Amino acid sequence: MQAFSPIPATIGGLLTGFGTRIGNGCTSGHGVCGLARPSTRALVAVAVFFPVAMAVVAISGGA
Amino acid sequence: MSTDRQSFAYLATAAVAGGLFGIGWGLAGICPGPAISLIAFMPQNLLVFLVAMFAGSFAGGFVLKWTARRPAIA
Repeated sequence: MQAFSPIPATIGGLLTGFGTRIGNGCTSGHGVCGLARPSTRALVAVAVFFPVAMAVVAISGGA
Repeated sequence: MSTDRQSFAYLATAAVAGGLFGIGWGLAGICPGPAISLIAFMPQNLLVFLVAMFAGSFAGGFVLKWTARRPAIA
């Protein structure tokens, strides 16, 4: 099982918790359930966080 | 999709929060659901992510309490 690096896990964890709380949903809530409803807010959230996460992974070279 | 009750601020909040979540998701490599389910395997430093995630969630709760709450339309 892959181990997590402490510093990315801390920063990423804080941002993940904060963003999902403020945005009222995460990958499961907005991406799976929200898009299936369909919810405009979920579409907006997914359209932002998916490209952003892909860009961060591309820039940082993977977790 | 109805837009009568959905203000610009309502969608802008989701966009900004999605941006923050996207950065965190890209850095850590997991989103909240897999983080919980990975407890079964307990990889190294998973607890670091989980503690940070719940701390960020609590911080977000305080921010939501301090700012004006909009009616929650899911």
